[in-house]
Amino acid sequence: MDDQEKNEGYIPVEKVSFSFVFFLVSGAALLVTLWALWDDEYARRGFKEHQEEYFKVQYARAEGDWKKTNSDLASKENQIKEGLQQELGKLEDSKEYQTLVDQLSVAQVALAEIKEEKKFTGSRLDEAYYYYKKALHGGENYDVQLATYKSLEKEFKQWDPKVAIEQKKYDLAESNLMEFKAKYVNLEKELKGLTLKREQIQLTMDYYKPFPFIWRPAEVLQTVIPGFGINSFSEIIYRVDRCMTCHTSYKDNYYKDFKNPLKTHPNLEGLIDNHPPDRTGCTWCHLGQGTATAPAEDAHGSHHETDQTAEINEPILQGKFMESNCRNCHAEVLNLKGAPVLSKGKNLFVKLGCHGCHLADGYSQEAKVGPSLLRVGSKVNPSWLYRWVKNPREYLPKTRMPDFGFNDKDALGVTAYLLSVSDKAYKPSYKLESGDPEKGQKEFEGVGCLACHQLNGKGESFAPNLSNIGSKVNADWLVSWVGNPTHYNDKSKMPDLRLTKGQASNIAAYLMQFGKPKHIAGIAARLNHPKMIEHGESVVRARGCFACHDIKGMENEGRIAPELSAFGRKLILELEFGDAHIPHTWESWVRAKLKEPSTFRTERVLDKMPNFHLSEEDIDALVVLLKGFNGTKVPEKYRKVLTEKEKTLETGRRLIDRYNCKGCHHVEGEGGRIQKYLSGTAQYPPPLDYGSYHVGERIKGSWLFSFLKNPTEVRSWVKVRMPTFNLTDTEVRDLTAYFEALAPQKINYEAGVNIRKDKSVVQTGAGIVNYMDCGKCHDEGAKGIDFSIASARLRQDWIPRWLKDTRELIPWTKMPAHWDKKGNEYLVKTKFDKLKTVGNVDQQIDAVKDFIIAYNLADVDFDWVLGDEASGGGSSNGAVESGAEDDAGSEGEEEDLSEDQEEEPIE
Amino acid sequence: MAEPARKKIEAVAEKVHVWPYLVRIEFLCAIITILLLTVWSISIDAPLEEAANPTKTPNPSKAPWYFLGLQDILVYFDPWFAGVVAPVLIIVGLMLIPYLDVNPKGNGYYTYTERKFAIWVYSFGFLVLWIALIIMGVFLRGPGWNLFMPWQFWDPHKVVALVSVDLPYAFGVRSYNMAMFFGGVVVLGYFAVGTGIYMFMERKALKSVGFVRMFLKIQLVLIMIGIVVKIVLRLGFNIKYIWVTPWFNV
Repeated sequence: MDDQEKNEGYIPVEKVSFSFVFFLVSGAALLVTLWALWDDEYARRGFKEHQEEYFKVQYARAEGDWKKTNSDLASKENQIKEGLQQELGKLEDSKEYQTLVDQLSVAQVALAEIKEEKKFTGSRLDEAYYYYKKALHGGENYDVQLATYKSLEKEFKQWDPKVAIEQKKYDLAESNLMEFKAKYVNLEKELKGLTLKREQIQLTMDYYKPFPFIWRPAEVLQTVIPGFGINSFSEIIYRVDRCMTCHTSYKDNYYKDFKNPLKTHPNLEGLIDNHPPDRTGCTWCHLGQGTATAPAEDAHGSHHETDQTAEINEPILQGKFMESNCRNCHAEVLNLKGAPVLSKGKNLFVKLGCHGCHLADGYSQEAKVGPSLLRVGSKVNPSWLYRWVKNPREYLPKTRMPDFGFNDKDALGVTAYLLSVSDKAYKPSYKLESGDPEKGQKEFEGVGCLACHQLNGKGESFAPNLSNIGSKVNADWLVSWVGNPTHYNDKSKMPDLRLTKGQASNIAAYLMQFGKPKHIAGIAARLNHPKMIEHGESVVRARGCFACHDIKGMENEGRIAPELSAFGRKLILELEFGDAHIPHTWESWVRAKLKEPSTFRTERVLDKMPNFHLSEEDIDALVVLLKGFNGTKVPEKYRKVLTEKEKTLETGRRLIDRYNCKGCHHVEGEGGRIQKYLSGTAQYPPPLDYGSYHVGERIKGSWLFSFLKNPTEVRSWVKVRMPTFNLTDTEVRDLTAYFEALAPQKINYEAGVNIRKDKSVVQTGAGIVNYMDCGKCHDEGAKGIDFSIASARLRQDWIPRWLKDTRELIPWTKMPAHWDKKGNEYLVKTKFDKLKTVGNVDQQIDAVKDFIIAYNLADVDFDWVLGDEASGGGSSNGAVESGAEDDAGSEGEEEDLSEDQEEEPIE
Repeated sequence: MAEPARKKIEAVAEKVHVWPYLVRIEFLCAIITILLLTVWSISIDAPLEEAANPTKTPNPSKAPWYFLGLQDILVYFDPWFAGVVAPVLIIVGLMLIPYLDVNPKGNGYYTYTERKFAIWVYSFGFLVLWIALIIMGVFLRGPGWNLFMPWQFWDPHKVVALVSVDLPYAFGVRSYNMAMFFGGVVVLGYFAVGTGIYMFMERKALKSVGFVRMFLKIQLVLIMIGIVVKIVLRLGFNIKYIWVTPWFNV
């Protein structure tokens, strides 16, 4: 008692009740728990609704199919079902049928029993074998076990005939029954076949809606990319892309008009088929955050730089920037199909010489884009050079030379320095003594200058515009340059047109009329001032003139501007915005920089980039390319690796562009630009690759190689000359290989060139050629190519093709078709009736071919005409018919000539 | 020594059982805490970040939040102190408390009036040196470890003039040896004067507590206050070091 009292004094019962608080707090905890569940299952699983929509659409599609299929087969199905019903009734009524059914079931039971017994024996046999082997391996006496095993084995074998007997009984019963109800079974089969498609559709429907009111549960769909990369610890980095969790239907064309995320991926054939997302994932091309599913803003990558990590979480690419990442795998290809903006950017990057100042992946080996300045003093007058340096656009409004914004002193200094280091010992190879400008104009317009140069609005703009050339260059230099370009610059891109000194002088005299030098008084003294030269050197060094031009003493200078290989991933905080008030984004920075490089220039930030006066479209293209410089290294097995043929084509295409072959020739669907300046189609330079015509199929590689190295006259009547390009052996080899690679079929070595042509066939050929009067054009190469070069030049197999499909191969050739074509048949023209004496058309053409190939060696009568009796050769065919058909021949000729009146030559 | 104190406590009437009176309140607190944490974590959507990228150093580069106080001390002290001595002193000092503080008051019951000094010292160390510095490190330190007020934009390009000088230099001492001497006098003087004042003021307790205890206690307190003094000197007066020697700088 005492104790209790004492305790009560110490332990008072607390009167406060917390029941209500507990009630409130527990209720809140329950609600919050439910909230957490809802948040986790629905609020953060945005893909569920997209997948459900997809399932509903798929279900509705299947349902539509089902209904259609069902209505298609409804009547037939009913008919069969009725038939089945009838058959079933008949069978059920039949006593015999019942007996058969009973027999079968008895046989079935008997068979099953006997099989079971066999199985048990087999099992006991296995057991006995085990004990026998156990005893054997244990080193014990195993006689008993072996005996058991043997006897069981014997017993087991005895079952086989018994089973066979029962099986036979069963088979017989079954076949009897089947025979009896064959009609029923067949009807059943027919019904099954009929409804098979509908059942498959039903399965599809069940897949999307497994239970009434319950759609298929949504799931996370993903592509795992093993070997995405290797980290610093040589461990494989995996990448997981889950984009298809929301974009479920990306490869189903049915969804092309749906809204995203269900919308079909554009260009399924080119993009999805070649880059299957179930292997390569999505984010290599699109960026974003591949692992995230919801909310979509997270999956599409964070726009907050602090959250971004390269290759893991970056803002998704949109619009034309989608082309940027094509570079990751297709950097080597300059013109990439499907990425026009990127390709334009790549071309511009090289054309403008960006690689001169900026190092960038894949562009480190490109050549300097500006002309050599090693001997510039002998080329231009100082006043022009000064004005040019100060403002290049004044002389050439479309020049690639950028505007450095030099003040007078800087421009003068640069001029002074360039002249001071120019090779003073150099003298042009010719002097302009006399020249006839009128003849010069004819030469200029005839020989092919317009394929590259523009003069007073006429001509192409591959090379500098010459409209004001007189104000720029020295006359002596010009003669020398036109006559012999490599004398001034041994790396000259300007080809040698193999002009005589007189021709070169005429052209120079003609060109020098355009523009007069404007000398600035007293400039020479200022240019010679050592202080000015010194100032000039510092400006040239600072602004990196050597990045594009060869300048003496600056051969080993490095690149003066930042490397761009990972520029596309530069963070905004790494970009200097200076005082510019523009949105702080990567794109707006780059655009502003390209549009006006001095935008971010401040008192302390003196960037050196000159102004290229780029158009908006050019800026678009360059921005896309720059975004593509992202430093990503895609492993080889996920990357496009060019085949040998593709490499050959790419190398060739670059050479074709570099030397402006398309200025004169058609190559891969474009080119022949000079044609519009020529008087007639006969003057057109030949195509190299035009429709089904491929020069590699026509001309022997060895001849093409030799010709490119050192061109000789082939079409004497064409005034435009194939110039001698300053090509290296490697370049010529690459070009030859390129032309062969352009042919749709692989070009093999020629077979049969070593075999001497049959003399009689050659004689027949000679007769045909004389009969058809080929010599009218081809003799001496007057209007057609001389036969004497054919054997070295042409691939034999090509000649028949040419004779048959002449105008299909080169539409503008003056050579008419000599055989009529009807469908796939070739027919002898009536005017060449005598040809029929020489077998069929193929034989006629082969004879011509053999004659042309054997032309230089042939020991035949060159004057014998097909149909002439007085043949010296061995042509028996030709001699048979000697009708008075001479008229026919001459008539034919007239008709033929009506096509090419005047003196127009024939290919 | 503890015997008489316990007897005294037993005389206190306000005593209740742990079960159920304490436990039910603790349970209530647990529920409320869980409630708040759940609501908080749903609403801020705390992210799981991706694997670290060794090629990308974040700016600012921050330690886990609970270490940001220590990281912030690195601004004011050399690493040997901020990273080694200070954390060791914190742990050793906390371990020493039961041995240095032999005052039985407040054992088993709540009291402020009887333990004013102890509570103030502890609160100063915990709230100012630990919590306040963590808050500063988490919320006020931006790119370049510069100080930003909560309403200011974290400008990665912010430039702060670097004009801090050592204390002797600020007082016009230019010679190296003199500066070393000056700094030494200030630092040692601070400890000497601080110790002296404390000993004088608490001279009555000297007998019951003991000299060693009192001396250690005041040294720890002075170091603690010294850290704050240094922070104030740096932030308010741009003082870099107080004492520069060939071997260490503080």
